[in-house]
This record gives sequence, C-alpha cells and structure tokens, in this order.
Amino acid sequence: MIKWPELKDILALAKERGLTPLEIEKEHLAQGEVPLHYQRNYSTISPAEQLKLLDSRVGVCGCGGLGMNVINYLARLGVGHITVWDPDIFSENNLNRQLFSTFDSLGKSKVEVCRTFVQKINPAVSFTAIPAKWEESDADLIYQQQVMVDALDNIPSRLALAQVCEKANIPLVHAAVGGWYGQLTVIMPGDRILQEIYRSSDQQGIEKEQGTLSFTAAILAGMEAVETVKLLLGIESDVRHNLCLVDLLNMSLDMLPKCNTNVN
Amino acid sequence: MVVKVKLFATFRQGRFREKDMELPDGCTVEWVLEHLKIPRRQLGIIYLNGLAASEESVLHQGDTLSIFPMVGGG
Repeated sequence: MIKWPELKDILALAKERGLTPLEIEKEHLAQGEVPLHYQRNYSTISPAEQLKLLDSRVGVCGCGGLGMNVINYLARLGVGHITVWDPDIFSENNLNRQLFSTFDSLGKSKVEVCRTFVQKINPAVSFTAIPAKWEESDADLIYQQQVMVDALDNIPSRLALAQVCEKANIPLVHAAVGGWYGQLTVIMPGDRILQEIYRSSDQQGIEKEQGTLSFTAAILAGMEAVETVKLLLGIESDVRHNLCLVDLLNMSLDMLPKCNTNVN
Repeated sequence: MVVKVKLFATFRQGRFREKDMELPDGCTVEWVLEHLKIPRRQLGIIYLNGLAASEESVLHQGDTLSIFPMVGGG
C-alpha cells in the first residue's frame, strides 16, 4: 500500500536534516512513497514519473498571461526546477489575465511575485527568478534547461529564442494568443516553423487589435504545460509535427502539418 | 476555376469560414488576398492543399487555400 507523506512532515524533515524539501520528496519517491500533494497526479503520473518531473529543469521566457499560467501548472505538477525570465513589473492592464497579478502587486517585479506564489503552491520547487530580458541574461542558464517554454509577447524575441534553442539543442514549446485565438506547437531542433509563421519583422499580430483574454491565455498555457510534460516524460506528441490553431469563438482546433514551403 | 478558400480566426470576421470561390484561371494567392481585402500586416501562414505556400503561389482548379492571421501575444 502506497504511503502519502504530508507536506508539513516533509518540510519539518527537511529542516531537521538540513536538506531541501525537494531532496526529501525525491527520497520518498525513490521508496515508492508519493507526497500527498501529488496524490491526484497518481496514477496518470507514476511514482517513477513523478520523480522524473522533480528532477526536471524547465525554462519559461516571459512571465505574463501565458507564462504565469504555465508556471502555475508546472509547479503544481511537481516540475522540480523552474527558471523564469521577465524584466517587467505589474501594471493595471495586466489584471485581466495574469494569474498572479493583484491590486496589491501593482508596481512589483512579476518574477518575484511569481516566486512568492510558487513557494506557497509547492515549496519543493526550486525556482529561479530572473528580473531581466532573457536576451540580456547569462546564456548558460538556457543551456541547462531540458525544455524551454516560449511565453513571450513579441515576435522578434520569439524568433531569437527559437534560434538559441536550436543552437542549444533544446526543444521549445511555443504558444501565442490574441483575442479568442491561439496557436501552439513544439519546435524540435532543426524545425523552422517559427521562421515560416513570422516571416517579416514589420508584421503585426492580431493581439494588437484584439487584446488578450484571460481564458485564451490560460487554455494555451495549459496546452504548453501538457506538451512540456510530454517532452519531460518521453511521451510522443502529434503537436511536434503540426501547428495547432485554436479558435475559441467557434470552438475549433485545426492541426496543420509542418512542411517546407511549397514551390509554385 | 473553383478554389475552396478557408479563412481562420479574425479573417473570418465580416467574410466567411469556408467558400468555393470562382477565380480567374491562373491567378495567385495574392489575387485572393487583394480580393478579400486581407490586411497584409496581419497575414500569417498560408497553406495550399495542406502545404505551406506563399503569396506568389499559383492556384489551380480544385485547390484548397487556407489563410491564417498572425498571432503573437502572450
């Protein structure tokens, strides 16, 4: 019969032994004991897979409508090491969709507020908050990740991130949203789909006119978390071979196969 | 010639989702974009018969053309 150690005991044991809660949780899982706060992950996620998630490293570029939801899902699932980049502070027009934004947090660093929430959601997570643009940070940090998540809000930065991930040989989970609509794909090294989608830097996404809605960001972020977990657990996904287009106004989902540009 | 044209996301607004369009023989994707007044700055990926295509791609009887706007927000 499986034992379900409680978080308060995990935290006490970590303090007593001078270890991190993450290390204690890994010890439990290695013995087939699943921390109680992961009980409802079981048995879709086996104890061995839960241990794998705790050992995983995921980087999230952008801590806004997409990013905060992705971080929330990954932290609750038990992804052990999460690094997030974003230089921004909260402003009032973030309140419509950004999960950890509150009236009290206006003017505060997004990644620091995010860190506080993550510690409350899952104190076992090792969370690295970088209050800067990923382009201006230590590139080594990206190379240390197993999966990168594109939760950015502008096209030039998305294209640059895809280039770095290709060079670092790291899969990139991409999503973008605007109004009722969103797109999702997983970019494996060598895949040029983003360069096909964003062909020119003077193009403008529909979000400039349509804005960004809470549920669109949450749904696409949830899909990014799904694909991140599949990558971490070695589960094959059709999204690696397709661009997935989501239309929430008409509740339609289209999968477009990725391929090279057609010749006339 | 008749080409099936499919529009996605905001391009459907005030236009249509899917339509069999009667087009001049040998016309290009660009002709359709002009005809439907698709804003070029918002133009994303174009698919012709399930393959990525360009504005210069020439259309043929029975083709299926799908036009998507660009989405970049987070």
